Amino acid sequence: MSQMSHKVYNWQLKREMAYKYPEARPQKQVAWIFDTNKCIACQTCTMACKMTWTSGKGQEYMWWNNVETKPWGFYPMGWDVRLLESLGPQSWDGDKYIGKTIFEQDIAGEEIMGYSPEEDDWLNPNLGEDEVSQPVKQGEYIKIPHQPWMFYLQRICNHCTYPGCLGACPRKSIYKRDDGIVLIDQDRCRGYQECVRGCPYKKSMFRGFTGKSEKCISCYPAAEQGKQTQCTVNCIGKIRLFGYKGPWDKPKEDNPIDYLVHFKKIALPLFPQFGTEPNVYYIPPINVPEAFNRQLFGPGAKAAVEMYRKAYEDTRLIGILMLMGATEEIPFTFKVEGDINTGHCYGYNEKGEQVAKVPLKEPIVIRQEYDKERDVHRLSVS
Amino acid sequence: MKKTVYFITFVLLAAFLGLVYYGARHWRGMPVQIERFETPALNVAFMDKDIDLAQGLAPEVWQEIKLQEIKLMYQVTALPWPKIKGMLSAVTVKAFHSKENIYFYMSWPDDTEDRIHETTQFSDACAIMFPVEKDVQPHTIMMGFLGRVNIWQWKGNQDREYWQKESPQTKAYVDYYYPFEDKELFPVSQHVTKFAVNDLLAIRVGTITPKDVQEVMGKGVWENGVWTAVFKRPLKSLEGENGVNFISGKRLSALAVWNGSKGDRGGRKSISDWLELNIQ
Amino acid sequence: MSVYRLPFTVYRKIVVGFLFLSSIFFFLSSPSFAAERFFEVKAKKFSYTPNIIKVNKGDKVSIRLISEDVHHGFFVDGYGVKTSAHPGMEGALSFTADKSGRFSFRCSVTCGSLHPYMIGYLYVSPNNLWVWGVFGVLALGLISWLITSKKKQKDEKLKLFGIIPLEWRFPLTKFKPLRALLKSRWFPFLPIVFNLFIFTIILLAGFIGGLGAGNYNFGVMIVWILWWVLLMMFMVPLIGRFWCMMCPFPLIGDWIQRGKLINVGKQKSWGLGKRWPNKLRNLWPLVILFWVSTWFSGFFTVKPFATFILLGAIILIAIIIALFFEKRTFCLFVCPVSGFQGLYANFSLFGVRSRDPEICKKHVPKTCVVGNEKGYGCPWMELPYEMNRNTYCGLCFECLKTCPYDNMDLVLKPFGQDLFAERRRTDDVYNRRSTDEAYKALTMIGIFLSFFLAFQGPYGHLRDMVTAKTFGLHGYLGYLLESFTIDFLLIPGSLFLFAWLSKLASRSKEVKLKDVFVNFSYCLVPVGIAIWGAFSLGIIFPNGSYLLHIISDPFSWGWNLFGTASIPWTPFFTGLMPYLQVLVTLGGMLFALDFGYKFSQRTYKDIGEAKRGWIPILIYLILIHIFFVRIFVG
Repeated sequence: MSQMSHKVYNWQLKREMAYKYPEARPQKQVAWIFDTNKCIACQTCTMACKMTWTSGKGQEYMWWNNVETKPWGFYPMGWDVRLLESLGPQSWDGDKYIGKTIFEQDIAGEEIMGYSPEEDDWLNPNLGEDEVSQPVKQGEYIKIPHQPWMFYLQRICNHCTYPGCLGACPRKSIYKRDDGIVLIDQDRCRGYQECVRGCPYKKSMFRGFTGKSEKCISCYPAAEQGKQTQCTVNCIGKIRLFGYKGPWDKPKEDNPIDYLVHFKKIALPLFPQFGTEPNVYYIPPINVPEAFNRQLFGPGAKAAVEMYRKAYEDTRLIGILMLMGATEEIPFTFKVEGDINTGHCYGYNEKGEQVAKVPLKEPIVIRQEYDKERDVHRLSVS
Repeated sequence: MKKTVYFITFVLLAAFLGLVYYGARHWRGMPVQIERFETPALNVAFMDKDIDLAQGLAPEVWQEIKLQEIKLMYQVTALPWPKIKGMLSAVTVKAFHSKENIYFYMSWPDDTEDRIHETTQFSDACAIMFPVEKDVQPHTIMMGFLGRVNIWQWKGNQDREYWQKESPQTKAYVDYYYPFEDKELFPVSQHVTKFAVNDLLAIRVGTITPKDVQEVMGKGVWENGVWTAVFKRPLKSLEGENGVNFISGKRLSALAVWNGSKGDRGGRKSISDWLELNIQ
Repeated sequence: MSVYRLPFTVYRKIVVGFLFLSSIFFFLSSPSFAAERFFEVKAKKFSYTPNIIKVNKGDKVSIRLISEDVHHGFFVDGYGVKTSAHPGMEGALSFTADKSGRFSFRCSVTCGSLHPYMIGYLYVSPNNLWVWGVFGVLALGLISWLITSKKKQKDEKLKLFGIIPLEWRFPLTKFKPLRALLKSRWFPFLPIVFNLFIFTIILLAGFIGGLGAGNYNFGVMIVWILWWVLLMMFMVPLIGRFWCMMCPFPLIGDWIQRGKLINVGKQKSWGLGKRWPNKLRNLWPLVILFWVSTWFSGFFTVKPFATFILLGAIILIAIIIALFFEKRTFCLFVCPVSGFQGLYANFSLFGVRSRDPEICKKHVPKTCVVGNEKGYGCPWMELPYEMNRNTYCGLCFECLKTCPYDNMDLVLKPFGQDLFAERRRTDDVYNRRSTDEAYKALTMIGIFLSFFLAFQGPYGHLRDMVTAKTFGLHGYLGYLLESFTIDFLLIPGSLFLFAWLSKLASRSKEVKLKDVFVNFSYCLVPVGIAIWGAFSLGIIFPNGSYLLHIISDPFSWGWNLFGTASIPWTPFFTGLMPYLQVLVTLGGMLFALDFGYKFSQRTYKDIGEAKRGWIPILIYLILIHIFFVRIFVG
């Protein structure tokens, strides 16, 4: 039984789905692109978020942004495998998902399929870091995909179109703004933690000190001023891009997020089979076996990996990849000019002003052993 | 002989038919009471005594007062549901009023004393609810109701904070000292100590809202597997006509109990049917 | 058929093979993966939707009970778990279905007149009891076939199960205290007066009782729960027309006719004293009257005033008949209960019989018939000196009082002795084996079906039909039509078909089809007793606790005479109940098989015809018993 009484369209599943509220897509939707291939798990993003938002009392265990190593890392413990196990068969018919989402399970007494993690589950976010999938055997050597393998999965709140947290809250204390950001109203929240149970990604967290739950707020003060989020801006590896995604049926080719998600289909949502239509899009790791990628990112993973390995064939793709980390401002549109060796990618803000210009190919600078200008000899030059 | 027999027969027939006619009329006229679920009643007598909750629950005062046992049922009208396991025990409820205040006493069994509201840990609680409007009839429509209700919810964790002056603790960094706690910027990150009892209003499922003026005091004690909670509030509400004023006469109420260790919170609770208060 | 010429060893192999195969089938019902099942059950007077729930053993079952009109409950037999719901406040129940079989779930909160019959079925597969029941039926049938096909000649002496000679009798009145009791004019007067007192309260309770709900009314409970159950489970099968002995209904008529309360007054009834017409001196009026009274079963079993009307009418008619006709004409030919009591009493263990026929031959005039100063001539217009069937004897013991030689005995006899008693007199117009008795046995089966399906089945629309919620073809009229068709056409028709097959199989030329039909209908006497007994179990176990309430508060006026008024509804043995019902049904089949073969020998000329003619009837009995087991547990 459930009160999931509305039929909504989930473009990631290519079908209609049950949800508690009617379909109401925001004017613009905050979205991120994470290139998992470039992440080095330096956790700078994690600390940037922590220092900005979750360094208060009661928030000690919270990591609104976390980077976990797959396959053996989790935060909280087992968050994905537990839900995947209860979800049942997650079958795809081509592009269309024919299994059940978390909103379509018939569970007595619950609206959504979910679980409540124990307090202890949150306490060891680094367990499994850098662990490979299986012990290295005698005589093994590196091939693509790696065997054994591991990769870093960076996770924040996905600000889903059909959030599990929002559907689970019996008091409507969670709301989705018309820029797509999902927020927990701290006045209205009474600490029932249904959102903690309902979020499949476990990015809603309870704060005992205030008695209310909190979650990633998409750095909305920055977003409202046209700036990218803390985790995006501080990323050392420049793997992240933040912006606004257009509607799924009318994507704009000059919007970098739309281009990667809807046109190239190289950036894929995480666990689309949960049914929440998450808005953080990952470029899948190319070193990971296809089956694992498929489970995490859906049936488009294989094509995305192949495309990434041939990324140089598309200057616009390269352009966006280079645009990552190039500016604090949100690139609403982008443009690429020139060829792969000499071209540039330009990013423009909402008003159309240029906010970034990056070369498609990093210029190669050879450092001379003797620097004339400074009159010094350099050590350690290759 | 024949005539006598016929006569007797006729008399008997007439008598029987008369009885049937009478019975039928009488029967139809009698309201066919099919075990109408009777709203239990609780007397709220006058006693010239007041309880200082800081000193305790005053069991000696409550001992004299007649109790009412109220059956509880799992709340399964609205999702999500509490964990349904086994039969529920009944709540013992008592009430009296003094010149100034009205007191309610609730006692129910609970194996564990849960006074922590933390990650996936919920506090025991109990509540008593009154429709704000007078003359509300006990429809058996409980959850999808009928105008405003005033709910007094006593919570174990709030009781602990208020009476024992303990603040909420997290497992992680329990000993960590926050040098900037008093310089906390975000209003949402500030902890407000509430009373042990939340004074709330609601009009239907999911609309519960704290009142601007919190008028209810309460205290709860757990001993040997039994919770006892006492509510205290002035007879007249500070909100005047917009609040619940306890004047002589009948008033409806209903009860709820949360068992924190079973994951009860919000709508996951056990509720009772209407209880009629007879305020003397 | 050549199968009879096969050696017995082949039969043995068939039996073993059959048992082996059936046990495989039984164990093949493998346990399936235990799932979590959830059901939303809507309760409305007086049924549930869904009315049938099917789960597997080990499943965790959650139920949300929603009430659509008044406060309803939900109690699961055998599990003993329950919940309840009002409109607007639902009830929830969660349990693990660790017991398999069929369990009734019933309403546990008095919700209206048909509350005790608000029932649905929960099936937890594998339904082993059903399989075992069918297995038992088939096994009994097979054993019967094996035994009977072995026989080479007709039994000289009929023996019950081949052990107890059917003509055996033990005179209980050998014991002087018993004889003294039965000879006293105070017996059975005192029990009758006691029952008169009880029935007065019943009538009063029906007339002025407080609540409209039957289960809280003395009248409804005592009559339809206590009396009916005692009647069907104990009195009739064991002691025959024991109820007739202490029935208060004809008491007033007796007083009017006799002119005296206890002692002997007029031998000839005061009043018009007519003789009941010959054409109606059989069970036909009773067949019809009982069937007509079942038209109103939906009312008088649940509404106190309807019980009052029924009982009041019966008493009134008893008195009027007593004014117009002689003696106990009412008891013999008009009382609706008389029919099946009379017929089924032939199965019972007790009877009144004369001991030494020589004494009676020489005794003139026969005081047991004409009466003397010690007692009345048989008010039942039987001939006690040569009576050899219980059908028309009401156990009033007048003949024990009047016999100057103490030649009348209360005897203990084996089950079913009377069914084989031969007619003594050729002009005995109402004491013979014929179609009226056959139809009585048959209609009782049909009425059982209607009652069980409506009152112990999950079918709410049947209850609506029986209580005349609507009057058309889908309502009350439909019920009457369906009742008539099943009771008078289908069930007799099915027996008729198999009787015809029996005649065909026997290859007999002379035997009359009517005789085959009538004779074999007596097999249905133990069957009827068994299924009504099993039906009664289904009444008393769930609802017996109401009896404790009504003895303290008979009128629902809030009394508490014995302190038991507040005892809540407490069903007992509901888990055991289906097992007992199957056992009782199989018990009835046992007797039916034994009697059936004996009837076959009676009907057909030689052993060959008897054995062949028996087979279709055996098949018929197997089929109907599978059907009954299915009704009870399948």
